[in-house]
This record gives sequence, C-alpha cells and structure tokens, in this order.
Amino acid sequence: MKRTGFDTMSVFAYPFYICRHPRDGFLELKANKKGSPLVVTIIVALWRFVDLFYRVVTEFDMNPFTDAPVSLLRTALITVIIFFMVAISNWCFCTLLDGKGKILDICVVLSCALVPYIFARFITTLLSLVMAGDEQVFLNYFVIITEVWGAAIAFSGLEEIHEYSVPKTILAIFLTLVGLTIMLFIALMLLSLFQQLYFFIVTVFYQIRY
Amino acid sequence: MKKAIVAILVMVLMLSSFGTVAYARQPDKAYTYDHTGTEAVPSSNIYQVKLIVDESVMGTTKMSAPTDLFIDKQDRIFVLDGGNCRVLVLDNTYKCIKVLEEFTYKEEKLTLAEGAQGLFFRDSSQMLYIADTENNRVLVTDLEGNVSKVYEKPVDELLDPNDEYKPKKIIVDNMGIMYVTSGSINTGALLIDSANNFLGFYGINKIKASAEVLAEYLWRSIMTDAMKAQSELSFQPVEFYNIFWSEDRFVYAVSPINDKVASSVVKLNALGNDVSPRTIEFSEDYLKSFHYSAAMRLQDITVDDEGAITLLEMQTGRLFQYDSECNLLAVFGGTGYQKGSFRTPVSIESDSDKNIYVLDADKNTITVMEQTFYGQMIRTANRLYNDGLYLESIEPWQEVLRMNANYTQAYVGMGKAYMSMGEYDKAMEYFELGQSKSDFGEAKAARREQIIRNNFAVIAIVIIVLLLGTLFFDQIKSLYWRISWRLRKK
Repeated sequence: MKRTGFDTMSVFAYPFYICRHPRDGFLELKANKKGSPLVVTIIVALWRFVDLFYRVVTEFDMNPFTDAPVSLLRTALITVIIFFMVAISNWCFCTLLDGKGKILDICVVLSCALVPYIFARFITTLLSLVMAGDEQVFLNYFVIITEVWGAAIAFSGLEEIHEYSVPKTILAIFLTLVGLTIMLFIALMLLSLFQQLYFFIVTVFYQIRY
Repeated sequence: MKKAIVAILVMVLMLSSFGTVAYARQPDKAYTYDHTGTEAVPSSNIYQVKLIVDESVMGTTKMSAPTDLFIDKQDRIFVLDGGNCRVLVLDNTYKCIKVLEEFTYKEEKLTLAEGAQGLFFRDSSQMLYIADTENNRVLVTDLEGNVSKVYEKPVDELLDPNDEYKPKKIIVDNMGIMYVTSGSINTGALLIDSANNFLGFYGINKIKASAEVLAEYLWRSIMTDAMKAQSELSFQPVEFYNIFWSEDRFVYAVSPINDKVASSVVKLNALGNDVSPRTIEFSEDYLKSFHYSAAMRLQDITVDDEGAITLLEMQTGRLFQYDSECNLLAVFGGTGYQKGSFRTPVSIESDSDKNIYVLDADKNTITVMEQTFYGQMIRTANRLYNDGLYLESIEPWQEVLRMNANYTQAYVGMGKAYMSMGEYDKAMEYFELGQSKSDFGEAKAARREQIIRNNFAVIAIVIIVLLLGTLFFDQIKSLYWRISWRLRKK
C-alpha cells in the first residue's frame, strides 16, 4: 500500500482526503483508528447549518420553501432521524451479518459522505444570489452530482469497514432501510401510547382534584 | 331627585345605544383566491346593488319564473317571463315599454308554451329570437309580435329523429345563423341557417383526458362488438348550459363543472375550437374554503365590451368576474333574501355601462349592480396591464392596493411598472409580494446586468489581475522569496 501521509494527518483533514480517495481513506482509517466523534458531530452540525443557510439566504425566486416557515425543532429532528437512525439501523443489521465495522466507523462513513453535499450547498446558495431565473438548473445539477458522489462514498465506505462484497453491501443497505421504517413505526407507536398514558394521568389528576 | 337622575341617565344610555349607524353592507363579502389558487382571501366588493327592478319599477304585473334576459346595443332589456308566457321589453330606465304576449304568424295566433327558455335580439335585423322550448320550436318575431319565421326541428341525417328537440338557449351570429342548444343533444350546439337547414354541430365539449378515460378506451379497443353494444360509454360529453355571443365574434359557453369536463368555460372561435387565454378552473377546494357542500352549476355567462367575463353560479348565487385574460377579479353575491343576494338566479347580462343584471326566478326581480370605485380601478389597472402599459397602470394598482392589500396581481403589476422604470430592487420587492417567481428572476437578471454595466471597469480590472496572477503565479512566488531573502540578509 502506498504511503499517503495519512497516519500523520490531522483528524480534521481526513474527511477531505476520504472524499477524494474513499477506498484508501477508509482502509487507513480502520488501520490508524482516526475516527473522531468530535469530527462527526461537527460535520453533522455543519450539514444542518448549511441546510438552514440554504433556506434562509436563498432569494425568493430559487427558494422552494417560501411558503413554509423555518423550524429549528424540525431541523434537529431530521438530523436525529436521518443520520443517527440510519447509523444505528445499519449497525444493528451489520453486526448480524458479520460486519466488522463499529458504530463510530459507520458514523464516520456517513458523515464523510455528507462533506461534498455541504460544500455544494454552501457554494450554490452563495451563487444563487448572483444567478437568476433559468440558471438555477446549473446549480441543481451541481448539487445532484455531489449527492451522487456522496452516495458513492457511503457505499464504498460501508463495503470497506464491514469488509463486505458488493452484493452483500447492497443487501445491507436494503436491510438498513427496512430497519429504518421499523424504527419509525415503533417510535410513532410509542409516541401515541405515551400520549394516551399522559392524558390518562391528566384525567385522573383532574378527577381527584375537582 | 336621585330617581329622576337615574332615570335620565338610563334614558341617555338607551338612546345612545339606539343611535348607532346602520351600514348598508352587502350580505356576502367578496373574495378572491391567493396565488396557490386554493385559499380564499377577502376582497373589496367590485359591484354594489344599484336597483332592484320588480313589477312596481317596470309598471307591469308580477313576473312568474322568468327564464332569460337579453340586453341589446341600445341598452333595452328583454325579459323572457317563462311562467307568464310573455316577453317584456324595458327601456334603459327600467320602465316596461312593450309586452309581447300574443304573436301572429300568417294570420294565425301563436302563444308561447310555459317555460320557454331562451331569448336573443338581433340588432341588425331588429328581430327577436325566442326558443319556445316546450313547443319544440324557435320563433322569430319583430317587436310588434308579428312572427316572420317559425323554425321546427331541422331534418338531417346527423340528427336522430327519436331525439326530442328542446331548444333552450339561442344565439344568432352576424350571418343570421342560429346556434341552438337543445336539452337532449350533447354533441354541441346546433348550427341552423335561416332556411332551417342543419349545418352541423358547433363546439363539442371535450372530455378531460384522465386515467379512467384512457383505461376505458383501452378496454373498448379489445372488446368484441357484442360486448361494446352491451357496455355503455361512461364518459360522454355534456351539453352546454348556456351560450353567449360577444361583440368580438367569439362564442362563450358554460357547461357543468365536474372532473369529466376538460373546461367548464370555453371561448370558441368560428371553427368551434376553444381559444380562451387560460383555463378557468373550479377545484373542490374552492367550495371547501367557503363551506359550500352543493355541487356548482354554472348557469350563465356574459362578456362586456371590455372582454370581462362574468359567470353566474346558481347553487350558491355567486358571480365570478374575470378580466379578458381570465384572471379572477372577485367573487361576489350569495344566496339569501337581502339585496345583492339571490334565491334562484337564472340569467345574467351586462350593459354598455358595465352594469350587471341578474334575473332571479324565485324573487321575480332583476337586480341591477353597478361597479364600485374599487371595481373600476381593478378593471382599469388590469386592462392597462394586459395592454402592456405598465407605467400607466401604476396609479390604479396603488388605488387597488389601498383598498385591498390581498390582491396579488396588483403587486405583480406594480413590480412590472417599477421594472420598466429600471428600479429593479423595488420591482423584486413587489414580485415577492405578488408571489411571482419567474418575474422575480427576470428582475434579478436585469439588476445584475445593470450592476455589471455600471461597474464594468472595476470588474474587468479585478478579472484581469486574477488571470495574470494565476498565469504568473510561480514567477510571483519566486520573486517574493527573492525579495524577502534579500531583506533578511540585510
């Protein structure tokens, strides 16, 4: 394996290296144990920030959210649901399927996959202040390309850290989505159950009090 | 003494509470729809009641279930009093100048059957066309009651002799060709010339191409003839409820509102093709937002000399007015017994002053409505806007916005005016208020161009410096190092 100076690289620099060389990057990541929870948190926070930035800064003609108000709570919920539930769901199934990756590795893979998208969103949001009308198409293409790029990073990353073959990775990703729906279903059910319990307690409280 | 003071105070209080001003408000407030086309937003009234014309104003006996109204170029009003089998002619002060009850045709007395449906007055020949529905004929008469022609059902191969001929609404074009809608015929209006020859069908109502229609088409293409004969077509065109002949030689027609009809309001050219600038749509949300449960029924349509379209919706007694480009101006009217609301509105006409006349078959009255100041302003502004006179339209738009800040089209109009003045920042502001993304984008592009043009020297210099910098990057870097090395040496 060729040396890339990865072992001496700062933990804050490796996501950029991984974006350019996903296979080598993830291999060395495992070998050198460079996964840092701090960096994962920063990337996820940046991801949310960039989406908010996009919604708030984009001018009226290119903003698809002009009718809906920006909600911080919903944004935070989306973070939890999409990012960490995907990570947990993937970890659950991959431990069953003899995957070698730890939960931190999965989080690192997923966060590295977000890096191109974060850059693209930030740049296109700034460009949208200058561009007008139909030129929006170019910005959209740019974002879509980085999304595909991110998907490729996530795919090869999961393949690498779990030490899977390609078909098994596809199976794992499919099972991850299945797991995600199951988790959402359970969450909704718990929510409604707790709501009923809450109303029951409130009713009992009022019955005793009055 | 104390009791007297208390009594006086009570009296004063009571009097003051009785002394409040009574406002002559219209029973139902007017409204329009927001930019999504689904949410109703309140609007100022564009029409107000001028006069209720009943038998005391006309100076005749009470009408009974009148069915149709027509106004000619001299603003004479013709009322088909279907229940009393007569035609009333009113002058422009709404006095009855003629009652046509008995007609003579070749020294023979003719009367209308009860429930005659349609009326048309042809200005060029001064002849009155009456669709005598229950007698299955059309009468052409002068204003003295002398019938010159009686048109029975034309004989033609295309017309099924078993279909009953029930002429309902009738219009006559400049060539003297009659367009007749008949109750049981759903293939369009019948074109009949003055010699009672059937010329063809006109303006067949198109069916909306939905998935169900396509499915039925596919199934029928693989069916045997026997199966086809058994199964009935579930998607059939519907007949026109009403037709209107406008001065610009277009025929406007209304048909039922349901999901099978492609367009309920059509503007037909001489070939019978729909040429309306925009499809007027009535979605379910329209009804929901005002808590109406009844199905809508477009009863009549009228177009004034400016091209503004007014639709009469019978179930809820509402009037929809659109400008000549089919942009909604306002919806007004409603059901009720008060002035400005209707029980069973059956016909609507407009005169040369843009007044609107609504004939009510239940109240047996004609409600005359005149434009309010807001209505005049919104029409003027929209007319100027449609003609592209944006700068001239800025004042009427400002008046409109002063009276109704909910009217999004006004913001777009203001924006276009500012855009043609070159004030792009203000234009963008107004386009955002008017929810027009495409116009906003255009203003933004124009502003960008303006900025580049004004600061071309600066931008060009920056670009050239950057280009040179990247081309000679290595040289500059080595030069920098050499200079700093020399400096350090000293």
